[in-house]
Amino acid sequence: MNPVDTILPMRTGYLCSFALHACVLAVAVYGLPLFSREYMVQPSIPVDLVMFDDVKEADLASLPEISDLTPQDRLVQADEIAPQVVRPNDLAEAVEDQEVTELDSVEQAERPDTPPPDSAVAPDPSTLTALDDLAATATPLTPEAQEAEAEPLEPVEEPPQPPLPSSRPETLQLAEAAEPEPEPEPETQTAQQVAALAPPMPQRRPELPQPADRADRNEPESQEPNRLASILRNVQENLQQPQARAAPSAAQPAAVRQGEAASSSRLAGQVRRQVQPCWNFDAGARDPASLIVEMRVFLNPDGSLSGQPEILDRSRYLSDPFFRSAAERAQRAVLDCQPFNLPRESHSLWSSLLIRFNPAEAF
Amino acid sequence: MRRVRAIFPIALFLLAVTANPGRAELFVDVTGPNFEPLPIAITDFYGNDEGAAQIGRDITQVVTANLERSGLFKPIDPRAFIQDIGSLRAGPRFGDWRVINSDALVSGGVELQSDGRLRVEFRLWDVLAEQQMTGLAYVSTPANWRRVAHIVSDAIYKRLTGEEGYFDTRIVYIAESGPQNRRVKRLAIMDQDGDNHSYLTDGSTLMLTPRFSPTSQEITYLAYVNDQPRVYLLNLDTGQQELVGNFPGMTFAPRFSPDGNKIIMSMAEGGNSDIYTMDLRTRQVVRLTNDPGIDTSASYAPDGRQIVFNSDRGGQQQLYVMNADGTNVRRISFGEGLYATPVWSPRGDLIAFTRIHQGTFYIGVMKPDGSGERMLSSGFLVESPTWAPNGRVLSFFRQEPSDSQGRVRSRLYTIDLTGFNEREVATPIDASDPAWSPLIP
Repeated sequence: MNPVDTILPMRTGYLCSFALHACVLAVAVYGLPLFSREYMVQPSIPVDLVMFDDVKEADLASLPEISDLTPQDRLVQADEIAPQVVRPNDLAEAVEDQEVTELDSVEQAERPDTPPPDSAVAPDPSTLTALDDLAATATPLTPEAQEAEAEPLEPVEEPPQPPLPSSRPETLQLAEAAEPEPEPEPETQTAQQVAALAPPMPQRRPELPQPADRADRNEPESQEPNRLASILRNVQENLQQPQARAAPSAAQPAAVRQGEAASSSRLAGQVRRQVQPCWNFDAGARDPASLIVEMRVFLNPDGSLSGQPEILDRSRYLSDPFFRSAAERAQRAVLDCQPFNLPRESHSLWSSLLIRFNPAEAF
Repeated sequence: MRRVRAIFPIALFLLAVTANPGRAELFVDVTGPNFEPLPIAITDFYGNDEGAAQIGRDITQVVTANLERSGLFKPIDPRAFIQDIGSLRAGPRFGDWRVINSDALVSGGVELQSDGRLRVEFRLWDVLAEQQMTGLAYVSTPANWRRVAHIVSDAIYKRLTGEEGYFDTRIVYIAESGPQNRRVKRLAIMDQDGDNHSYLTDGSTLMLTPRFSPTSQEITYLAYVNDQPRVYLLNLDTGQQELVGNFPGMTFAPRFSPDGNKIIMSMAEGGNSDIYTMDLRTRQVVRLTNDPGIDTSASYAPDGRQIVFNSDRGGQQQLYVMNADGTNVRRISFGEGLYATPVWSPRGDLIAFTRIHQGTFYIGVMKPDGSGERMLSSGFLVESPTWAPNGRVLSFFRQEPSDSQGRVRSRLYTIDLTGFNEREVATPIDASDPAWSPLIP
C-alpha cells in the first residue's frame, strides 16, 4: 500500500500530534512564559541549626540571638554539643549547678602525680604490689567536658571594617623548597588594557604572543615538580614516589583551548590566578585527593564578593570533618583574595562563578 | 513533503536536547594548592582578677605552644595585635584581625568561681567569614588548668583541621642513663608536651617496649626479672602491676588489641618466634602464626580485623599483613633492606615502620597495601615509631653514635606524617621506646 494513502486520511491527527509535540518541546527549551528564569543571586536564608534535644533550658539563653546574625552569616552549622557522659555522682552535681548555665564539671583529673624518684618501688612480680606512690596519690580519672556556649556577646558596636586590599605575604611551602614564581600579574593587566582598547573580536590576536610568554615561564615552573613531590616528604629519593605529573600544566591557565569563547576561558584563568595564591591545603589530611571542593560564588561588578560562597556538597560538608575543613580553607581562599581584578564590562560573564578546588594532582 | 514533516519533530527534539539552557555561570578549576600553616591569633584569656588573669595567660601559652608544635598553625606574635583583650570581650573587630593577616582568632575567659572551681571558656572565630566557629566552656579545679588548656587545644585543632586532637595525651617511655655497658632503664611518663614528667620505676629492673592500652590507662611492657623476660601489665591509675603470664620462652613486643581486651605478642621457642594473642580476661592464648621464620612485632589495625607484623620467612625481614585469626598472610613490603617494628596508624590509612638499609636507619610509612612507601626520617639509629591517637603525628627515638668517651645521646622526636616538622621532645635524661597514650578520658 502506498504510504501516502495511509497518512492522508489521518492528516488532522498527525497535524494535532505534531503541534502538541512542538509545544512540549518549546516549553522544554524556553520555559513557560509566566515563570522567570532567575538562577543567579538568590541568597539563601541563613538558618541557625541547633540540636534542641542536647541543649538544656539554661543553654538557650546562651545561644546567639537570631537578630544578631547579619545576612552575611551563611553556612552557620549546627553547634555540636558532646553527648554527655553522666556518672551518678556528677548527676547530683549537675542538679546543683543548674544556675551555672552550662556544664557538669570537668572532674579533677588528678593524674598520678610525681612521686619522688627515690621512693619509687621496683616491680615485684611475685606479689601484686602496688607502686606505693601511685596508689597514694592517684584518684580515678573521671573528667568530663560538657560542651556548651558561653554567654551571648553584646552586639558588636563597630561596623565591620571594609576589607583592606589583600596583600598576602608570599606563600612559603611547608618544605624548604623554592618559592613559587610570582604570579603573572602584568599579564592580567596587559590583557585588560587590550580589552579596554579593542572590540571583542580582535582580542584574539593579542593573545597569540601569550603562549610564548608561558613557554618562558615554563622554565621557572620546572621547579614545581620538586615542590609538589616534597609535599609528602620522602627522605630517601630512591624510593618510588608518584611524581607530580602534569603539575606545571595544572598551574597554567587552560585558556588556550581551541574553539572556546576566548573571553570566558581567559576570565576563568584570571580568576584562577587570583584565587590560587590564597588557597592553602592540609597535605596530611585523610585521603587528600578526594577532598575536591566545589562552590558557587557571586561577584559584584567591582569584583568583591556578593554574599558568602556556597558549598555545593552540603551533605558531605556536614558529615565529613575533613571535607568541611577543606571546604573552609577553600572559602578562605576566596574571601581572602577578593576583590578580584576582572574586566567590569564583561561582568555578566563572571558575576556567577562555579569554582572547583581540586588538590588531586598534587597527590 | 511528508518526509519533511516526519523528520521535523525529530529535528526539534534534537535541538531541545542539545540546546544549552544558557546558565551564565563561569567554571573555574583551581589546582596547585599551597601548604602554608594557618595563621591564628590566640589572645590571652581574660581574667577578672589577677589570679584568673595569670591562669588565663598560662592557658594561652600552653594552647599556643601546642598549636605551633603541630606544624599546622602559625600563631601570630601578640605584639602585632591591635584589638585589646578588654574590648574583645564585647566581640571581635574583625577588621583589626584581618589587617594582621590572621585567618582565625581565639578569645577566652577564665573565672575563679566562688565555690573555688575554675571556669574556662573560649571562642574560636573565623576572621574572614566574620563568624564564630565554636564556643565551649569547661569547669574544673584550678590545679587542673593545664589539662583544660590541652582540651581547648584539641577542640581548636579538631575544628580547624577535621582531625581528632592529640594534645590531651601522655607519652610513656624508657628513660636511660649511665654508660653503654651499664645502662639504667626506668619507666617514665609525661604529658605530650614534656610537662608533668615522672618516673614510674627506679631502674633496678631492666625494662623495654612499653605500650599503651587504647581504652584504659594501662601499659604493658617487658621487664627482665632475675634475667627472665616477662610481660607485665601496669595500671597507671591504681599503680597495680601484674604478670601477664608465665611463658616458657622469651616474650617481647607486646601490644594491645584495639578493644583493649587482648594483647598480641611474640613467643620464642627453640629459636623460632611466632605470634600469639592472649585474652586478658580469660587468659586464653591463641597461636596465630606457625612457620619456621621469625615472626614478631605485631600490631593490630584500628578495626581489629587485620594484623601487621614483620617476618623473615621470605628470607629477609619484611612486613606482612594477615587477618586477625592468622589467615591470609600476605607480604606488603618489597623494598631493599630490613623492615621492622610495624605500627598501624589509628586512622587506619598508614603503617609506620623502621627500616635498616646500608647501615642507615629510617622511619617510614606505607599504605596498608604496601604502596606509597615514604621515608620520613633517617639517622644513625632511629627506631620504634608510635602513633599519636589521631594517626597524624609519630613519635620515635633517635640515638647518636657514641662519642670518644663512649657516651651516647638518645632522645625522643615527633614528626608529622607528611614528613615535616620533626621536633625533639624535651626529656630530663636520655629517652627511648616511646609509647603514646590515647586521649585521656
